[in-house]
Amino acid sequence: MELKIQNLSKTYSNGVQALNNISLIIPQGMFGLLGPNGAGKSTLMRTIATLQDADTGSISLDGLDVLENKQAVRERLGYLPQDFGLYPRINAEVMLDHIAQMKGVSTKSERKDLVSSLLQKVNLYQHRKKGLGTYSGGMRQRFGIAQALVGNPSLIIVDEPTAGLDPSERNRFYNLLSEIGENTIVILSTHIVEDVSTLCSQMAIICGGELMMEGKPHDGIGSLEGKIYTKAIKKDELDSYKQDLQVISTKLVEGELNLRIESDSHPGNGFEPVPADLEDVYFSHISKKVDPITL
Amino acid sequence: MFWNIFTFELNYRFRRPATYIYFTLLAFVSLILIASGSTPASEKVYHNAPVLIAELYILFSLFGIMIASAVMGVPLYRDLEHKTGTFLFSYPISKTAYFMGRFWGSFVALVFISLGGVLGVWLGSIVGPGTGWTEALRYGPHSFANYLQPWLTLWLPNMWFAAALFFALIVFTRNIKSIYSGGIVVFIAYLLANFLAQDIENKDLVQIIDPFGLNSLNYQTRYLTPFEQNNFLLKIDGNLLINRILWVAVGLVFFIAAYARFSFTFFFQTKQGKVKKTKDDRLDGKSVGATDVKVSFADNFQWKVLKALTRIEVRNIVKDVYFRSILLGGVIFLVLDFWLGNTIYSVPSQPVTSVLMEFKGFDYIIFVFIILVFFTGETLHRDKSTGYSTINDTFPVKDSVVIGSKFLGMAFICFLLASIPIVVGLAVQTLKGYFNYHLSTYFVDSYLISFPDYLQMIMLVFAVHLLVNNKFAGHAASIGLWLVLIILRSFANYDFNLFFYSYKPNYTWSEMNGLGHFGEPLFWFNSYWTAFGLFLLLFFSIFFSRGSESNFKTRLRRAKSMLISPQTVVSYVFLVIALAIGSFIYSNVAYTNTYLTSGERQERSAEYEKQLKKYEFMAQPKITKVSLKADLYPMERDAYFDAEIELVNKTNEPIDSIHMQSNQLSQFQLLYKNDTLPYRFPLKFKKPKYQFFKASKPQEWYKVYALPKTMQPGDTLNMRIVSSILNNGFVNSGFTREVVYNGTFVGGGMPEIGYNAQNELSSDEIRRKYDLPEKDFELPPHDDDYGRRTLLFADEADLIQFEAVISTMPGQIAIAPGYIQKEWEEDGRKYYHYIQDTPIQSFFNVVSADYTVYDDEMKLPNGEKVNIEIFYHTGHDYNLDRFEAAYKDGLKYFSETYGSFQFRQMRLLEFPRYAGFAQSFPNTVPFSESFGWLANFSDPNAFDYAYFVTAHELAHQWWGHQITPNYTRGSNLISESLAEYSALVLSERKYGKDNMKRFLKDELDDYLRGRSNESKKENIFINCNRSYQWYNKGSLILYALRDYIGEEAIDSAMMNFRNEFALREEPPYPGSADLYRHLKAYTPDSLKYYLEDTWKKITLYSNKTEEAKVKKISDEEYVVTLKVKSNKLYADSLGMETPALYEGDYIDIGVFAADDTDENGRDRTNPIYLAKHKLKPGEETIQIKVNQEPAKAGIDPYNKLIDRIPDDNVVDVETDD
Repeated sequence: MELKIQNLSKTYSNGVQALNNISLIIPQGMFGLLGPNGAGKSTLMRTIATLQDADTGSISLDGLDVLENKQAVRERLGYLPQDFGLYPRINAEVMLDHIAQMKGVSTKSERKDLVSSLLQKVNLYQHRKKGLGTYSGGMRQRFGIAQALVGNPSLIIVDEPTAGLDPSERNRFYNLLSEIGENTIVILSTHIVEDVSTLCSQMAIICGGELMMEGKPHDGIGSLEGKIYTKAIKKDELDSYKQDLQVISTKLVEGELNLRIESDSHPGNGFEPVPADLEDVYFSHISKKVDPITL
Repeated sequence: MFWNIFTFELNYRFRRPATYIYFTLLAFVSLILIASGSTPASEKVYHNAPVLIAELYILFSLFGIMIASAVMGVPLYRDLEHKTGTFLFSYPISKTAYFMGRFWGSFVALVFISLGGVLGVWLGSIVGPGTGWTEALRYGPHSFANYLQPWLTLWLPNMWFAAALFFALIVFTRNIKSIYSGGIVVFIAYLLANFLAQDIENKDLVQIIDPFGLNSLNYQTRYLTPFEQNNFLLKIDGNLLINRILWVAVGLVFFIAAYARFSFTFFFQTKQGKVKKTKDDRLDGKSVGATDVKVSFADNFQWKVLKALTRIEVRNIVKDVYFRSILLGGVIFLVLDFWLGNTIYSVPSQPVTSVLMEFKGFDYIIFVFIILVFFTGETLHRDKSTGYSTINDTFPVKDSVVIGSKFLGMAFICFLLASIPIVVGLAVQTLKGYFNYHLSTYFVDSYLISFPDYLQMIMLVFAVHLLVNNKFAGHAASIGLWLVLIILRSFANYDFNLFFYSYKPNYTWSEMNGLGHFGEPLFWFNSYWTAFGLFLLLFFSIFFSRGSESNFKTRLRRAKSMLISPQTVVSYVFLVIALAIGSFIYSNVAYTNTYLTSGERQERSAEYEKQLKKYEFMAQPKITKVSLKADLYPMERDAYFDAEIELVNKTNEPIDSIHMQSNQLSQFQLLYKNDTLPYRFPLKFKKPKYQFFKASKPQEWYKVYALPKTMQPGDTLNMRIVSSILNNGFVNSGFTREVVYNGTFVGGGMPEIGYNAQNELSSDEIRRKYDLPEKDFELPPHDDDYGRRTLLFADEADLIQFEAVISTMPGQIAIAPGYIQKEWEEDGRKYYHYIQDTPIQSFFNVVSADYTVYDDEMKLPNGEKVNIEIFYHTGHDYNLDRFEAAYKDGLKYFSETYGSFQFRQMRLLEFPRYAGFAQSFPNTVPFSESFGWLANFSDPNAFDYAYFVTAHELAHQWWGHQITPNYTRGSNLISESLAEYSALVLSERKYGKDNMKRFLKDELDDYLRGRSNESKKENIFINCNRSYQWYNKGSLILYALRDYIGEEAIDSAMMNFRNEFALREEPPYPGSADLYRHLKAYTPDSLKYYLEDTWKKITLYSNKTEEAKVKKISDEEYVVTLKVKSNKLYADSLGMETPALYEGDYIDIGVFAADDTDENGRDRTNPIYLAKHKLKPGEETIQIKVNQEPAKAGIDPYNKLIDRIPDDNVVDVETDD
């Protein structure tokens, strides 16, 4: 099973080009989609989730045209949107049961078991009788995760799933996702590099609506191995470094600026080589489109 | 600091378009109202009369509650909502500066908005006459004070109250929803208060507790004559002044309380989440169910989902606190309406189902409308507005199922709303001990009439929201649509139901006739609108937007691609069905029953007068004999008449043609020796506007016949009139009441002879529009020759010989005036033959219904026997004894007092409540179902109007049928005023003076209101031409005259009057001046002033007791000192008053012991002194010795005189130390 995205483009009516000729092949397993805010991740996710159409290009799921056969895709889909709400006056149990019915779980007893099991898994079981309007942000997010998993979806799309989760809930979420069957495509869009490095066997980076990188995280790190150097500098020296070197990220540490650069050879000048990590891969790619220096 | 915040707030407000939108809206609405002349002003009142402006301002300020909540709710909430409040801690702003700045800034904006209304009214009264939109005559002078004073005294205080209320609400609740609900609550509470106020005796309380002063204003202005409304500023005194001060003070209390409560720390505290995480409650040990489940989208998946979605939609709505509170409001009103019902003279009706069902249309419907309009929008936008759509839209559920579930959810709510009145109705009936539940009435009305109506409402709102796709714009558009419909109907007089979405003909349930003939048009109209609604719903669902992108272009593209899809095709099918039913309705309404707009009807009246007025006084023969054959087919709603008539030329000129006309008959023919005579239809009308295709053949309702031979003076001619009333199809209004399934009541059945001036337009404003001269009097003067030899009720005849053979369906009894001769069955039909063996006016009727008959007999004082027959609907025997008592008491007393009774029988016949009157034909009185048959007189103090009205109709056998009024000014008073007076005397004899008080107060109130709404001019009583004059004023002044000149004198005068004119078969006939002559003869010189004041002038007293003090001399001797004020005023025809110059008038002074109740449980007043004193104009002090302890005392305590403030006549007696 695979999801094939070909030459997908989308321009919104306000002129923003959200997707620019994106082609991707997403195989079974966890697929991480990394990108900064406004990169077009959510547009891509929503398009796959049948919520909107692209201007050009196509998406196919095992040969099935997603944009033309929305109904068929929806039958296999589990989707956690980035922004969503719930009926405030309905309690979690009823709502999840209702959603299960929407997703084709038609046997009542099965639905009941499923609902309580999922609520336990996302640690909401004890809150199941509460109106969803009283849920905190984190609880709502967990409910969102639960509903995305209802009904054995074979295509799961989770958009910024860990936003608003505290570290322990995030771990729980990682565990939950990792339990998902082999025969499933899980697309996880995030701007948190850790999510991808923890979970994903495949990944892509998009920025400004364009695909910057596609492959295994491991390969991405491998390609930067031995090319990352760091140095602590004064803030006002930054500009001169930027002129000469390919600065990919900066970080303030105790008042000094920790500079990370990418370079094929040792730049000397006090720079120290460091092992590359996935964050470097991320910054390395997006720095081609946007200025990563944040001061 | 205050200044900065204040100006910031002002700037903010004045940069917002909303401020200008509200301003313009108010200006626009008021400009249109005034300029187009759509104000409630009666014809002689200026559209910009100061009192009228005051009333408009109050109404604006009521609707301004919504604006006030929007403007005053936000200023503080803004900082809470945008969380900018937390910054305020860090700025050096004082609480006072912040609070006051925000408040006053917003309040000034609110004041500015209200000036839009003032501007509109002012511009309207320039534009209206300036452009000729409305006659310049209808506008008064532009005095600045007229526009400003009511604004200052009414609108501004109302705004202040509302502003303080909403500002305080935000401070105390910190929740914007409290503003919305606050607005609704205030509005509902206000409706409720007004509703309750109708029935409260204590009008002072009502006037004072009304926060917006509407009741106080109405009360203050209720008797103002056109002259006073035009010329005087509203007086802010008495209760109105107290009201204004009270509510400004209450506003101040809110304001101060809000200020005291407000603090930055309280107001901007962050909300603590209620939910705490309990991390320990893990799933350890608990079994985790499988997440691996069977998933299937096969077969009936979509159907199951539809049910599930509908269920959750209903759950969403019924759990909504707003839904619950609005519904609660509706139910409260429903309970009240059902419980109190409609009262007549404060007497309630039995809670029969057919009457209850009508009451849900009073207030409940408003709440239903609000719920349906708002929650349809909420439902449709719920997923988007909660953000759930991003999840929901990815489910494998078809679009049609999504929309379908929303519709079904709302349909269920409709069902619920339609069912509630059944539950409430049954509960109210049970609690009141009434167990004759009419379940079929409940079900038909709720589920076949209301339910489709509600469904149609939501279908349109669905379509609007689907198209607009924005919640607020959708709400605005749907409310706007309904408003347009309502405004077009009520202001522009459009009422062609076929073009007004969801409008149907009106209907009335009747106990006698059930839903009757209203069922058919309702069925067709409901089918028509339901089909059209389904078309709207299905068609516009192609604009349904799913997913995250919803710009109009995308939706339009999608919609275009769906123009031919299964669901749109179904919608087209419904459109075709709607058009088919619509054309059926159209042909029925516009062609079969020629629909005319109100403008067209006016125009036709004008044309009638212009083209035919020349025939008004032309010589015509008079009918002397009628032998009527009437065949009634109640189930077909057809009636066929065949009358043999004898005509005599009683004039002294030859007559060669006869004019006949009838608005009632479907057709008529004049036959001579079995030949139908040729005729001419002289009227030319424009083609009816709504006959879009070829005009149908006009109904020829005015015919000019050449007589077969010229009638010389004294000649007699026998002719036949064949006519029919056929109810084919149905009419736009749904209302035709004469021939019905059960309870037919047809007056006459024959055309009238000659031109009838009563058909002319009466309003001078409208007459001017059609270039007709103004019309001061409807009838000729008292001494007019034509007038004196013509009868008022039937100008085509003097007294006639009458007999009738009437047939009807088996199971019904058919009745006409006269004595039954024979009753038989033939060809499956029932026949009745009646002969009236003494002459009567040509004023008869035909009645047929399934009756139970109550029979009795009585002996008159002169020994003659009279049969009493009461024909009533089975089960309606609640008040038989009252009807019977009135007949028996009246026959005895009237024949003793006024002269013998002319018939040997007296009948009372119930007819369906399509009209609420009783009418007296010779020995036959049809009496409406709703006018006493169902009244509940369990309260001993209740005014027994069943007795009173029956007595009134019986008295008409003397005053109306023995005394036959002529065709001159004011002559109707010798029928109506005398009947009303006689009934009053009879009721007083039975129930006592005290029981009459309530009735007399109503009569006075009705008279004073009647003259204040006079649209032309108030005539002096002897020329009376309005019902408020001949009923209300008539009974008051005759009752008082009896008190002045004594019972014997007035009875003698009336008996002499009766003896002079009773049952005259030849002219001259009596008029009002004849009665006056007899009354004058029995009035002593010292009291002639009173007779003249009441009959030939418009006289008002201003009587008042300033104080009453008592000094106790001994246990049996008390001295009461009264300070009274009395003034007499004369008014002209528009109500301009001038003080009368007089020495002194005789007026009652009374002293009363404490009230108690008599042996029947009725309240009783106990006069210990009552005598007439001659009082000079102005103030006077009177000392009276009484021998009991006095409780109350005053001037004219029984309100016999016409006094604009009757309540200040009697005061409690204070002890003088």
